Order: sequence, then C-alpha cells, then structure tokens
Amino acid sequence: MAGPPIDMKWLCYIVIIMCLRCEAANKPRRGRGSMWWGIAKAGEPNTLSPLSPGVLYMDPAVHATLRRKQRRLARENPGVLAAVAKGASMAVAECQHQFKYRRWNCSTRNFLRGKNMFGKIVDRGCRETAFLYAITSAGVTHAVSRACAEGAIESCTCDYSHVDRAPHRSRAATAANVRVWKWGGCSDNIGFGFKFSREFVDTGERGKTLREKMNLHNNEAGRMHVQTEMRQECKCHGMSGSCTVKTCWMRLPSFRSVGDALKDRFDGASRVMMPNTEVEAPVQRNDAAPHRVPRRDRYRFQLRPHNPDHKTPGVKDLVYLESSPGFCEKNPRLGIPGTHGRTCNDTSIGVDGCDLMCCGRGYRTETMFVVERCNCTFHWCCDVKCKLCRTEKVVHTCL
Amino acid sequence: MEEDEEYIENTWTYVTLCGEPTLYEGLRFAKDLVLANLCLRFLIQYIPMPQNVRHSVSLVLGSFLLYFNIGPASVWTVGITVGSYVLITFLSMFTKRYRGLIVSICVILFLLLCEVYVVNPKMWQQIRGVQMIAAMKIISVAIELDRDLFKQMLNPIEFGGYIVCPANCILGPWISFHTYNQYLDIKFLSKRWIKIILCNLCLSMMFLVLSNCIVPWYIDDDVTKWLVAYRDAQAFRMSHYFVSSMSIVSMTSAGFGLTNDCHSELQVTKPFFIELPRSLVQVVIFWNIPMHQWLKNYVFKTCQPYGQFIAIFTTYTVSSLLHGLNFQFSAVLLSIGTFSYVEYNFRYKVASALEVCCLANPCVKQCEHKYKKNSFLAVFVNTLFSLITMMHLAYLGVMFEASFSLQESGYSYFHTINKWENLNFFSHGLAVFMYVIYLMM
Repeated sequence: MAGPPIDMKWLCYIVIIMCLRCEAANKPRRGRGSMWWGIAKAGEPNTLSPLSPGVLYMDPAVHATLRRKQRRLARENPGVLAAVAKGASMAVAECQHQFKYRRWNCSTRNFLRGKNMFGKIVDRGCRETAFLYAITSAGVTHAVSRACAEGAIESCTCDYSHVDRAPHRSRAATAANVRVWKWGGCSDNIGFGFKFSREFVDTGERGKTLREKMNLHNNEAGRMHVQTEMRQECKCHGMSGSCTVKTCWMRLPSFRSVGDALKDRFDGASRVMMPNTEVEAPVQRNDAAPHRVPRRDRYRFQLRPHNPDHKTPGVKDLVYLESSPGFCEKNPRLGIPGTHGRTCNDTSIGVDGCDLMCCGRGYRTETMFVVERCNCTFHWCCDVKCKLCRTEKVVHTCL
Repeated sequence: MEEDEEYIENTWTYVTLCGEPTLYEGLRFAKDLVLANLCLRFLIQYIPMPQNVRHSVSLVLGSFLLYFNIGPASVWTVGITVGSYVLITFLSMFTKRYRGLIVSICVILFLLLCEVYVVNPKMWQQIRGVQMIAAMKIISVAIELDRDLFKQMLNPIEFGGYIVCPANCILGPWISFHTYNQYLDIKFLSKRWIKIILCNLCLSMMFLVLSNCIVPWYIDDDVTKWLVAYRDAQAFRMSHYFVSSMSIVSMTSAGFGLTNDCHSELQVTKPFFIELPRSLVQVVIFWNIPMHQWLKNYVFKTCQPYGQFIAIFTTYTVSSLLHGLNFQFSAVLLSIGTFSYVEYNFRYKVASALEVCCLANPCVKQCEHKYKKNSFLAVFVNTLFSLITMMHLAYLGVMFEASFSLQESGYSYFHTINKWENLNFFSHGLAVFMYVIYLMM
C-alpha cells in the first residue's frame, strides 16, 4: 500500500519536468531582455501613489519584471526609474503613433503575469520586433538624457571637470594658436543617457545567439538615432558682431523626429544572418583598443545580410531575422489580435485604406455624432478658448 | 491636449538645455572680467600709491586679462599699443597739427592689413572688438594731443595703462583719457556699488539667455519671412545688449563710471529706445552711446570745417573701416546712413506740411508745431514711423543671423546679398520711395 503516494509523487515530478520542457521548447524566451517594458505602465496615474506626488511608486509586480541588475541600477541612480518609465511610455506612444494606420498597430495588453507587454510577437525576430527594441531603447536614452539635463537624476551631475579637455580641438585652430574654445555646460547628459541605456536595456542580451545579436543591434540603433540627432549649437557675442564670447549648447532632438527616423529605418530594415565563421569580425570603431574594454565586446559583431547582394547593415539600420507574420487574422499563438474592428479610410489606397486594412473582408460604415472642440481662439496670454461642436462623422470599421 | 502638453514640455526642455550651458559660459566669461577689475579697484582703493603706479597696475592687470581671454592673440593688441606710442612720439618731433590725422590713418591701415594679410579670420573675429576699442582710444589720444588738451606728452605707462585698462579693453565702452585718469582716483564705495554690479550682471545674463534661447524659439521658423527676420535681428540686438551691460559690469567692478555718491553714470545702450524706436536716427545714437560720442567728437567735429556732407561721409567711412574691411558692415552702415538721412529729411517735410511734432529727434522744449506730441495725429504719425523703423531694423539686423562657422570667421558678401535678396531689398526700395516723395513735396 506504500505504492500509490510514491507513484503520485513521481507523477508530479514527471509532469512538472514535462511542463518545464514543454515551456522550454514552445517558448524559447527570446524576449527575455525586454520584460522591463512593462515599466511603461507604471507611469499611469492609477499606479501613482496619491500621498507622495512626484515620487514614482513602483508597483511590486512591475518591479518583479526587472532583472536583478536593472534593480541594482535603479537603486544606485535614484530618480532614474521614473525617467525609464517615462521613456518606455514615450516609446509606446510613439510606436502607436507611427503605426496608427498599419495592420500591426503596436497594441499593448496587460503586461503582468510574466507576459510581454507587446504580446508574443516579440518572440519572433521580425521587423516589428526590431522596431520595438529600437524605439524603447531610444526612449530610455532620450528620457534619461533629458532627466539628467533637468537635474532629476542625482547621480548624473553636470561634470564640469570635463570642460577643460577641449574635445573639439581642431588642428587648424591649434596651428593658429587660437585658444581652442572649450565646451561648458552639461555636455555629458547624452553620454550618461547612452551609457545608462546600454547597461539597463541590454542587460539580458549577452550577444551569444543570433536573436540576441539582433536585439543588441537594434537597441544600439535606437540609441544612435538619439545621439546623432543631438546637435551642438553655438553663438558668438562681442562688440559689433565680433566673436569675443562664444556660447554653445546641445539640442536634444524631439522624440517625434527620432520616431520618424526609426520608422524610415523600419521600412528599409535589412534581413540578416550570422556570418559564416563564428569569429567576430572586427568593427572599425573599436579597432584601436580591442582588448581594453572587454564589456563592450558584445557590441563588436557584424551581421551579414540575408541576401548577399544587399549591403551590410549600418549602425543605425534596423535588422530582423524572419519575415513578419500576417497581421490580418487573429492568431493567439503569436498574440496577434487581427484587424477586426479597426477603423479604416475608405478613400485611401495605402495601408490605412479599407481594402488593405481589412484584408479584403469588407467593412461596415456607420454615421455617428462626435462632440469636439472647435473654433479655438488664442487669448493673450496664454489661453486657448474653444467651443464644443457636434459634428457628424462617417466611420468605417473592418469586419 | 496631449500634443499641447508635449509641445510645452519639449520647448521647456529646449530652453533648459540651452539656458543652463549658456548661463554657465556667460558667468565663466564674467568671472575673469570681474575678478581682474575688482583686483584693480581694491589695489587703488586701499594701497596709497602715486598715479603712475596706478597706471602700471592697470597695465599689468589689463595685459593679464587680455592674455587669459584671447590668448596669444593679445600680441596684436600689445603691438598696436607700442607701435602707435612710438609713432606718436616720433611725429611729435615734427608736427603739432597732423598727429591725429596720421595716427588715425596708420591705425586703421594696421587694422585692415591685419585682417587681410596677417591674422587668420577666426582669430580676427575673436580679437576684432578688442582691437577696435584700442584703435578708438589711440585715435582719441592723438587728436586730443593736437587739440592741446594735455599739459605734456603722455608717458608710456599712462598710455599703456589707458589702452589695456582691464575695465574696458575687452568689451568697451570707450572712455577718454581724462575720464580714465579721473576714475583711477579713490572713490566712495558703498553697498550700492555691489548692488549695481549684481544688477547689471543679472541684466546681462538675462539678455544672453534671451539672445541664445528665448528669442530664437518664440517665433517659429515657418511663419512669414519678415517675422523671422524680425526675430533674428532681435536675437542679435539682445546679444548687443548683453555685451553692453557686461561692459558696464566690468567698468563698475573696477569702480569706473561711478559718481561721488556711488551712482552709476555710465550708459552704453538704451534697449527700450531701440526695441521701440522713434526713428533710425535715435537708434544710431542709442545703439552705442560712447561710440557715438567718439565719432561725433573726434571724427565729425574734426571734419566739420570741410562741410556738412564731407563730415557725415567721413564719419560713416571711419566707423565702417573700424569694423574692418568687410562688405557686410560697410553695406549695413552705409544703408543705415542713407536710411536715416532720408528719414530725417522726410520727417522734417512731413512735420512742416502737417504741422505735427514728428521729427526724427523729439523736440527739445516746447515744440512749435500746431499738433503737439500728445495729439492724436502726432501719436499716429510717430507710431507709423516707428513701425517703419522696426522694419528697417529687422532688415538690417537679419544679416547677423548666420551659421556658427560664418559668425566665427566673418560674414561673406554672398551671405549679405542672399539675406537681403530674400527680403526683396524691400527697405532699400522703401528708402528710395520715401526720397522720391521727399523730393516731390
């Protein structure tokens, strides 16, 4: 009679092991580095503590989605979590703006219970995933740089000791013995944002598998877009237009322009595969000191285009591994909601047109009355007054 | 709604991202200037010493300040000082009448040669203001020598101390040797003194931030070209106000320009009279008051015996040559000259025809016109003229908005013509039109 309990126990073990294996087989957990995206929802009003305005109260469930290193980073840099949350929600909003009129519209769902905020699409290495990685990493870089400039992150102070290093020393100027103009001000904001984003966003991606390389590349591309669009602007002051005093400052790009640029790269994204040899090809930018910064090594790889006739993807290009699934029909396996019930434009022949959006299923036309603001006038200063108008609108929705 | 918030947030970020480094740079620049001048003041104030030692203190501190600000390029300032002193002493042996003329020509030639052959453009743009101030001081000394305003020839220390005086060798304003000598005396200093310095420092920082960050942002790029021109010109004017109030800071911290009861008697520019101008003539006067006085005293009055036209023409030529051999400055200054001449005469005719108080300069006492300055007609006509002046200012000031590389290395001919072509040479056309009407009236 001692048999059954033992059997039960074994059975349980077997079931559990089977399940784990099942899970391991079905869900390769490719999006392991992207669980922090859930933080975007933390910035929403209902999760903000009413008692301490301004201090971001972190939902424990959100906190649980962060990896250990990310939690450490958040602890070490007080105030940074709010910036990350802001960057993530900015990225989500920008993604939804960019893909408003496409079949895949960057929809998000409840992120808890260990699921990815953008759904299972992240498990595929397709273009959409590439965009998600790039925009979120760009969002973090942007928001952290900005918070840094505004002084919201304590550990990121304006390090004025950098001032005297004269980064822009040009040979012509040195030859002419002009005292080279030295950068003042918070030059390191973007540097901090960039480095922080590498640490925080790229935590889970070790760069071992092809998919991890893809994620790393796209994360880096997002950051590069923020960095290169950052412009230095200068102005001269002095008696009658001379240049006795020079003042320079950095201009952070608007996130919309970053989103636009990334959307362009999305349209021209390149499909890649691993180089023939597993040996990492040397990348030009770190050639000088190949072994000095071992941590950066994971960024030193070159992806090869799937079609050998195409050129190799650059630092700012987005890369993907497999073609996108169809987004027309509901596909629970990939977490695709389908385009049922989406509004479309009956006159457009583009992707937002009803023909393409509804995938030929046809659409329903309804007339509804909408109350919206209209006849807005600007009152000096600074107030905009509007009337409420009731307008008739024709809405087309996909069947 | 969300878009609005995002917009406000973005612009706010822009202003902070721009404002902080701007303020930092501005204050860093002010630091050296104020420190050197406070040093000068405290040495003069608390250590009893003969006048010549004071001059040498000024000479030493000024040289240090110059070196720290413009680096090895300060050689050129030292060069012009030494060279002109040698020239003046040499000339004094032969003549007592033409020193002013010869020295002026030599100094201006030296500046032009420096610009064209010797100094590279970037460096020239950096030291141009300093050289201009030095040249103005040298010429004023030479002319005053001719006018017998000195008991004896200046000794080298007095001369050097005057030229590289830290209070005004970098940003101006020009002051005459006698004023400088007077200011080197012990002054009554009170809390007011610190207050004046701080007030002007704040004012200058405000103008700096306005010029760099706020003015370029508050009008969008995609509005009409005239508004954009107005904005760019205004940013340039703000930059000028910054330089002017900063020069007051440096003067005041050296204890210069203070009356006996510790009030500031300095006035370099009048922003209100330029932003809301009565006429172009007034703008020219209030743009840089010391420079205006210098031109009037040493150039205009010297040339007056040769006739009004020659006097005016020489004044504008000298003023544009002092700015260097640059098409843009010559064009802008010549245009200002013509516009203000036309405006002056046109308004004179209008005033007598309509019997309105609307002359280019406000009437000194009771005006003799039928409609006084508060009458409706006078206000209306003056407003109209001041709008025209604002437009002229936008038209003339838009030149100075340029890419940084151009600002740094000097404006080109094509840049000037492009900017004006963009505005269809409108102000020039308007001036011609007004002149034709003036001739017909």
